[in-house]
Amino acid sequence: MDAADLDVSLEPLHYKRLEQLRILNAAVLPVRFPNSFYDDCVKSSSDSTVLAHLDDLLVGAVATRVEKASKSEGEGEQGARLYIGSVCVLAPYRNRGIGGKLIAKCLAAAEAWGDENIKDAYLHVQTSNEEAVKFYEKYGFVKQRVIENYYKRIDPPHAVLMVRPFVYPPSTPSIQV
Amino acid sequence: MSDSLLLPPKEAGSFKQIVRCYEMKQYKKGLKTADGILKKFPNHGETLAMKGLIINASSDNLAGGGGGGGAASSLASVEAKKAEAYDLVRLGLKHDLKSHVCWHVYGLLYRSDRNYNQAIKCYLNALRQDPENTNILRDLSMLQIQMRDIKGYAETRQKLFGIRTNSRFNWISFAIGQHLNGNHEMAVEVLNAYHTTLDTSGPNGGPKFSSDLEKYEHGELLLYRAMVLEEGNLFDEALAHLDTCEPLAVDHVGLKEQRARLLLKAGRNAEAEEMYQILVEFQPESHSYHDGLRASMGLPPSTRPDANGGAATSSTPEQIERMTALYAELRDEHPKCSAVQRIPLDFLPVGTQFKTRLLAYVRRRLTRGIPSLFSDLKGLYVHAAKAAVIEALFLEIEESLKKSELFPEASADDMREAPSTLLWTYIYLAQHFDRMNDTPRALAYADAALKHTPTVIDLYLVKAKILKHAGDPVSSALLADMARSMDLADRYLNTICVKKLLRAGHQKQAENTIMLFTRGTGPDDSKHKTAEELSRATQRNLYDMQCSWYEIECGACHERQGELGKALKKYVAVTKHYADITEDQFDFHTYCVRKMTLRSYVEMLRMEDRLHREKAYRRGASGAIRVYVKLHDKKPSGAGGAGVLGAVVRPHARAADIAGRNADGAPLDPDDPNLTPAERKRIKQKLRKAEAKAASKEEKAASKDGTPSTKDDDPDGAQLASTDNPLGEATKIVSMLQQHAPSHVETHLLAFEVYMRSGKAILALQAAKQAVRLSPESPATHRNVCAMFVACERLFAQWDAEKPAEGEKPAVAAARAAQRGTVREVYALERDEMLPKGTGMLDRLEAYNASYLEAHGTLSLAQRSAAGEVLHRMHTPTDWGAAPLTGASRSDSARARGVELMCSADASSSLADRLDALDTLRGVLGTADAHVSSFLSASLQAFPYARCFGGSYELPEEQRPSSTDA
Repeated sequence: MDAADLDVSLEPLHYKRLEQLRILNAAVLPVRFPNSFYDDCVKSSSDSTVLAHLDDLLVGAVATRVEKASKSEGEGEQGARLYIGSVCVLAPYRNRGIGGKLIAKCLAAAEAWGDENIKDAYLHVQTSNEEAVKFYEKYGFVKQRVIENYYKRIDPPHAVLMVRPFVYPPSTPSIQV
Repeated sequence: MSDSLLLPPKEAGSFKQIVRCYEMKQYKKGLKTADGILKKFPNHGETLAMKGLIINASSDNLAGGGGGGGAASSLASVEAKKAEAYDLVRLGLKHDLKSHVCWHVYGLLYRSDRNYNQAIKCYLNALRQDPENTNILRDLSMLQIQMRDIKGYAETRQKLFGIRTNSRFNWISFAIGQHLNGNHEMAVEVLNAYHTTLDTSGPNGGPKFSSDLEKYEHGELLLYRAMVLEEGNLFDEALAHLDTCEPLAVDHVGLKEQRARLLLKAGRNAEAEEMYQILVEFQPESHSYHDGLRASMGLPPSTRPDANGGAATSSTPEQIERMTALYAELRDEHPKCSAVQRIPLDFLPVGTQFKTRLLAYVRRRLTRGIPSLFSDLKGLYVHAAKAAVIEALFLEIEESLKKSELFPEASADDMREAPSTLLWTYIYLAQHFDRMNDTPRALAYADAALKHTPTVIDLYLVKAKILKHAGDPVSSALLADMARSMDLADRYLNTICVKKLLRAGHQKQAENTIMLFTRGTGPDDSKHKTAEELSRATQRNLYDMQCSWYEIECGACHERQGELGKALKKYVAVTKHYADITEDQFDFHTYCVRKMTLRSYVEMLRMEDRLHREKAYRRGASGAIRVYVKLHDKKPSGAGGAGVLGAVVRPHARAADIAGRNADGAPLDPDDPNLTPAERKRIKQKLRKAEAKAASKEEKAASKDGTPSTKDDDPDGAQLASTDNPLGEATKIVSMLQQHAPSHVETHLLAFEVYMRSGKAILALQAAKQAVRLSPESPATHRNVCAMFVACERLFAQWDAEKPAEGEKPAVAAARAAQRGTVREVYALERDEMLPKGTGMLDRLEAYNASYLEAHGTLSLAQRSAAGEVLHRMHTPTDWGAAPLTGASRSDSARARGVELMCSADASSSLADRLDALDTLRGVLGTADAHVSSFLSASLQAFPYARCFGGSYELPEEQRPSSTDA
């Protein structure tokens, strides 16, 4: 039985309510992010970090940060990237379309910056989580490679690296001299 | 001015100039001119007085405007200037006793020091010299209304009116004086007469208005007349007046409300009903309109306001039927209105109707996630049967939602509920079981909800409350802090958290938390201020904001930790706020009359009269009294001088609130053996961080030249607490309470404590009697009465044994003997009235105690404990049983019965009662007694999380605030 989509409102992260995001992630994910990750969420990309509220309840969120070129993974690539650290929806509210709305809104927000330095978004998925891989593929992510022993405390410890390039419309002002 | 003519014309002119300078606030110039006159005429009284007045005014300026640094030194100089001013004015008066100027100035001086009673006397003297001086009369009238000398005010306003009838202010004030003095007819006549002086050429027979403001003022004047008529019970006249002034009144709603009320009072119910129908139509959420509507239909009012301890609604079946029909109709008209759906739940008896309406009511609110649903329905719990229906219904809803995501009785085609509906059902059930004192089930539902959706802030507060009721204020505070951290911009959460931290004994952490919201202490300010400065600024700001709740809780926190000076400082601050509020009305006496807001003005006067009855004042005042009593008890014996009476009353055991009991002691002490290793580690970490932070800040501050903030000479209340006469200070507050809050039993219990210690037998007796009258079942009252009789017997025996002091004058001895005779007489009278007849004192007391136990022993442990204590003490030869009390052979079996009573807790005994009983047991038997330890362990079993019994609740890691903050 597939229930109807829930009507959630999507809002960017407010730094005074950061703790709620932390609680949400702690409740859903088997891994813990360091505090520095959340600090980056606030500092670098608070509007691509999107929270889903059902009435006034926080039920899901996607947490992101912008990584400067030097920080990014991959082989000698230049430019900044958007790292999607977590996409979480509380168990009772899953399969009601919230995750998709979150990821779409997140990507749209990042694209709306129009910052061509940010060339793509990437994320990690546990290799066993095929459902998630399919889910991200729906939103334009492509499997790039498997990183062995990426996770420390969960089994299997390997992760799939998925990447989605940003395509900026030609209308983006690019001044030629 | 006749006296100043004594001066030659040139100086007389200069004198007039002084007065002008004073009015224009040109103090320097005024002083210079005064000195000029005084050089030639050093004994000119009026000039001396004016000079004093100017010096006083300039010193006020200094104190008010100065603010900044060196406050202590400027304070001293202000004092000196004030003294000089008083000396000068008194000197002036000596030289010219017949001058109204001198008396007026003297009055002004007292007025500036808020000593209104003295000021009134001076003005009256001034008027004796110059009875028609309008300035003095006007000043006098303001003081009279401020001091509520209503009769004097009415007279003064009448005089002023007689002198000048062409001022609107005088007309209106004259009417107000008559109104307040109970002379409604006269007030109406004055208003009518004033009306005839007005121009009526405008529309609707009113004046032509040049602005909306004028129109409003005229409307208010008309409605004020209606108010006077109503209060004079002239209902029909008032109604007729409302009809004529309707087109001119601006406050249409107020007018309609008054008309409905008047129709009801006049017994014209059919018309009243019509009027209330219109009002309900206009605002269906107003409960007072609904009350009026029902009253006009001969139906009982709503039972909403706390239901008076659960007195069942005494509606007849016929009435219920009519109300049901009425609200069914209203529901059709206002399908979205809460009030018309909520009110039937009050009057409907338990049955299918009730359940149907309840389900409809909660269904919408659960779906929409209304966090206040429980508080909304809480009032229904006074009826046990309704509570049972609520419980059954919510369990049914839970079941149904889990099974099909639908409410019971919903059809399968209905929209499925969102997952949050189940969440809100869990939250309600958690609150429900907390209310039913079923802690395990309450916690189970709270945890189920936390597992379902851990991001709901309200949920953490719900669980915090459950733990508070279960007796663990520390874990409760942690949860509240967790809630606070989830939305740092929410002041409400900050407030709740601070309150809970104070209840848990964490005063410092509470201060650091509230600092986030006080002025000048935010994160930016904290960079360049030392911890000390920040703390001072926080406390100062809270005082300026008259933040009574904080000061009461903070005072209680200090009191529990034995820091009496600091506690006193906070409690006294609360009483000062109320003095300030009283003071603040002064300006409104002129302002309101000028602005024509007369109805609000009269209501404000009445509000001010009720001010010291307010809960916050009572809490602050009783805290201060308690602390003064403790300070007295702490004095080395002998210094107190309370003698026999004071020795019998036991030290006041109950702290402000039991909620925080045993959470006290050193806050956040890592060496506390009651802590778990994990807790200890966390605290140590926090302390280290705090120290490092404070140190770095101090460094920064030292390198910088910080601006000196306004200094408080006695931040920790040490000076306050060092008073020589704590009982005298306490007595002042006690008489405020007796005057303003005589219907609260607490007032008389405190009065008793204070008077017994001051050795005032008759006043203590009076207080005890008042307490019995108000609350005969109160255990404290019972204990007091018994203690008093014991103490008085001892006192009289002591008097009998006293030998006349050597060298004492016979007259003094005789006067004392006469006084003592009176005391004994009054006492004997009251004793025979209150105690059953019998031979010996102890026999009579025992019978009194037995009848108390019989009447109230089934109420709760508290009553049994008090009776047990009295019985035990009475039969203990080293306690109350000591000579000179006669009667009842002291028996072991009676003592055993006493202990049995003190330990007679059962399943219904509350945490507070058990804690009180434990205190009583410890006080009677000593802490080491076996009964104490067995009572303690039984209590721990009943309340496993209660810190005061040695228990605690271990919060799971994910429900604790992460230690990154502060």
